[in-house]
Amino acid sequence: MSSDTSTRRGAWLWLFGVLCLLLVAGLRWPEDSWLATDIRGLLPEAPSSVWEKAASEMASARYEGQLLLVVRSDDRGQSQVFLDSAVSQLVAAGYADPDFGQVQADRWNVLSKKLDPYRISLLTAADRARLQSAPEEYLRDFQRLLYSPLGGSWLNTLPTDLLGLYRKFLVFAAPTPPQVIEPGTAVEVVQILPDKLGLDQLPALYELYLDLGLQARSQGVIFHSLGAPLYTAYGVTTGRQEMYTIGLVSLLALTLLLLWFLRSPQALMLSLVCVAAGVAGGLVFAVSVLQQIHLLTLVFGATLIGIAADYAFHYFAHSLLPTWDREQGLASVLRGLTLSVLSSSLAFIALALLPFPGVRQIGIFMASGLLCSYATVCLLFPALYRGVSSSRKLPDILLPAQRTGRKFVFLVAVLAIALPGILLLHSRDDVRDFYAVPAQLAEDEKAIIEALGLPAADSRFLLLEAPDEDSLLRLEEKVLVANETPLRGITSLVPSIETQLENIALQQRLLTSGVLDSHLHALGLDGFREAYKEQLLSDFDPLTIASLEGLTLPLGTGGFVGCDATGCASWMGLAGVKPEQLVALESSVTVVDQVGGINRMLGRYREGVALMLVSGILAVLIFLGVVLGWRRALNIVLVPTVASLLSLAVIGYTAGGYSIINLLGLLLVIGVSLDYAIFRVLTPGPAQAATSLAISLSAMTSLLAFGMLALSRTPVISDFGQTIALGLVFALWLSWTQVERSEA
Amino acid sequence: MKLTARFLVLFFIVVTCAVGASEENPLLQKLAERLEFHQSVEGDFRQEKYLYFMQRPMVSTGTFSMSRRNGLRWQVIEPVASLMTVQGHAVMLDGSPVKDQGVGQLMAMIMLGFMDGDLLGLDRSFSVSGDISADHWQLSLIPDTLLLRSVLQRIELRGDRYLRQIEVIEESMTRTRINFSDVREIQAKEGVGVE
Repeated sequence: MSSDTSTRRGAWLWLFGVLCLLLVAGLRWPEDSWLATDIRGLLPEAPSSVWEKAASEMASARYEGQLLLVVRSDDRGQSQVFLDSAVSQLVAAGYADPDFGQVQADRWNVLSKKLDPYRISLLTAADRARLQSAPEEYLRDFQRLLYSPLGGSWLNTLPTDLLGLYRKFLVFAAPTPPQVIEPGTAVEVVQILPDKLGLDQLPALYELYLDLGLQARSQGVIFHSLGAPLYTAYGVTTGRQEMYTIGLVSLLALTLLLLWFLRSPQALMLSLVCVAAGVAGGLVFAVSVLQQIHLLTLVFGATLIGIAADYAFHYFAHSLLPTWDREQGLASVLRGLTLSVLSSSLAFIALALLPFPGVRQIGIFMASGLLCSYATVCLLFPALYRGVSSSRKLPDILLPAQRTGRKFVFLVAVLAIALPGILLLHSRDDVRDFYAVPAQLAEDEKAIIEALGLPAADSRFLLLEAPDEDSLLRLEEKVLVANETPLRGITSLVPSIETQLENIALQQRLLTSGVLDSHLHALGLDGFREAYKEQLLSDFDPLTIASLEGLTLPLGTGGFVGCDATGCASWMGLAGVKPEQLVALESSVTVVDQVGGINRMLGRYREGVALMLVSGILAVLIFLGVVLGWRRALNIVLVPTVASLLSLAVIGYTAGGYSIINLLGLLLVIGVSLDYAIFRVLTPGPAQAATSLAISLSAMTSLLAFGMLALSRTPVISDFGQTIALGLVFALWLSWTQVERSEA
Repeated sequence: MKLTARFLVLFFIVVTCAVGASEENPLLQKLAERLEFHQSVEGDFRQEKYLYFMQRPMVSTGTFSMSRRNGLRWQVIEPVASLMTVQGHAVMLDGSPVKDQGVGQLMAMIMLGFMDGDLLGLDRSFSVSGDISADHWQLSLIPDTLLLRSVLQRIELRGDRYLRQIEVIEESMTRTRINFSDVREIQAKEGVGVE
């Protein structure tokens, strides 16, 4: 078969591969959003109970789409005017739900109607205690309220709520709204519409937030806002900017370097095709297999540009050699390319084995992307690339010096200096370090907490478990009775049967003792006595959680998680209460620390990735040892190993703390530096200049890309970038100075 | 219980009763020219609550004092003694803070406005209409916001040199009528502070 025929066949095969990939994408592309932004999607499933997981989702969802708006000035009227304008702008922009208040009102309406038949058995704990200890005083206070200007709404419900008990029960069940401490402050809560919480919509919300701040300043007021949508909006905005910036800068660097060194627009175009094939192929494959990937995977995936370009660089750099010809062009680099892609893919596929969704996504994305780039170089380049118009001798500076014994001694000395740095390393497993909180939002949070006297944000909550519903309610009441705290749970709406019976018995005693008669007479409501008595003596029909089935409860109420064959569960937010201050917590009451749980998982998987790192290097060593012989294998593996250790040492000296993100960066360093070492070892002496050129081009473009990551405002990305940048510098230096090359 | 829910709803709104500069209402401007204004006033009141389920009104009597610095002090003497104070957002009943569903602050806003002449704030939450003659006037306030309208139908105000009567008509046809008498400026003594 002529080489022309085989190269054309290769090109057709490549095209066939692209069509197959597109077909797979068409069949497997998800209908829902394929791009996630929630950091929890990157983390592994915590080994928690079904109840803990369900309660965590409920606790997170409770205030997920809400924004708290606070406006401060010397004049509350002025603050209110601006606040109204801010809400109007959010509504006009389509973010704020204009019907939020009405929706909540409707829900309360429905709930109060649902509970009304059971009202005779519904009392707050405080009212029950007062009626037991000082009923006359309680009733007198109620009368004072009725005769004051504040009593209007209580009067309207008197016929069916003679003591105001049911009304107080409902008022107590409602969450306490933010209480303004500073005069001149206006407050409002807005609900962001669910379809505006998507990835595409949120960046504009952040822009509007910044704009409102500027408007406020121009009008002499101060505007603050707090809420999960803003943090997500900031994350999406910066992530997108960085993705475009990093990708564009990488491409630009790639373009300029290729044009300068290779002087071939055709080489430039084919390099871009190689890179595009890698990124697109990796994306299509990852989404087709996983159905959804995270935004951060895409950000990390942008670095694939630098790695995928390596294969193109080796091909084109060797085309500059005087002995290069189109028919044999691929043969001179095929072995190196194949070993590189196999060893790198081996390392990335190993990541996919970890039960860590984010790592798995990156592993699949990178491995499949590299394979697509490799296929592009091997199948497409020989058919399309004609070589440069005139060959030229590569400069001698590109020929690395042969390794000597003194270099080996030097290497040992370097490692000895690095050892203290490695010993300074300590783990830093905190998911909160992954995200950056912009200064503006951090200031707003502090100001709002001060203005409203809010407790500091706490993601912890209590999880209660019991064999059945009523046991659960009694357990919750026991916790609440033992701890005089602002905790609220499902018992705010549904007391236990025992409590309901006590409430009825208490009122019956008031009736028989004559205390109630005096109260009714004082109000002129004697005519309602018999109806009330009839209610108290009627057959007891308990209110149960099942009675509320099908209702959408108002915001801030509820807490019932569910029941199954094993039992029932509910949750209560801590509302600023420290768990250490709670007493009488039985074993069936658990303090769930969502963030703490995630951090513990991060630590476990950091250890797993570290083990995978060592195992990966050993696996590559064994693989290369079998293929190339042990001396060469050791020679190759030396580069990624020492580069990784030196990177860790620098991190130890500078930052001290390291996390799973640093280790993920090292996995990438290993993949790239293996390429350097493999080509250095396999390339014959006369062609070493081409390899040097390719390695240098690769390092320069990769450093530009990863260096940009190191400047990211998102800590998780900057840590990743810094680690890779360090590792590449060391790998480049080692590949130039420490690798024993083939003289053949 | 529908009414109960409606009042609970008021937890979720901010009663926009701040007195502030607003569009000028010619009726209120004209009224302002008729009224006597002071820094602080006091007087007596008689409050009658007409409930749909009762044949006779619930009556209470007492005294009040009002100043912009110290807010509203509302002392019920008969039939059951109580003291309500409103100062800014803080509403207290017999020394204990209460969750005011807007009623206390609304009353304070109206009375403050008629005390010191800053009536334009009424425009913020109500559509104002009425009648002014040589020696008396009458205003009708209809709530502008949906949620306030779900609680109140309208507020009727009547008076001469001073505000003499507030009548709150609610959606349930419950009416509260407050008559003020012996209204006088607080002279040569400190405005009564909030207890």
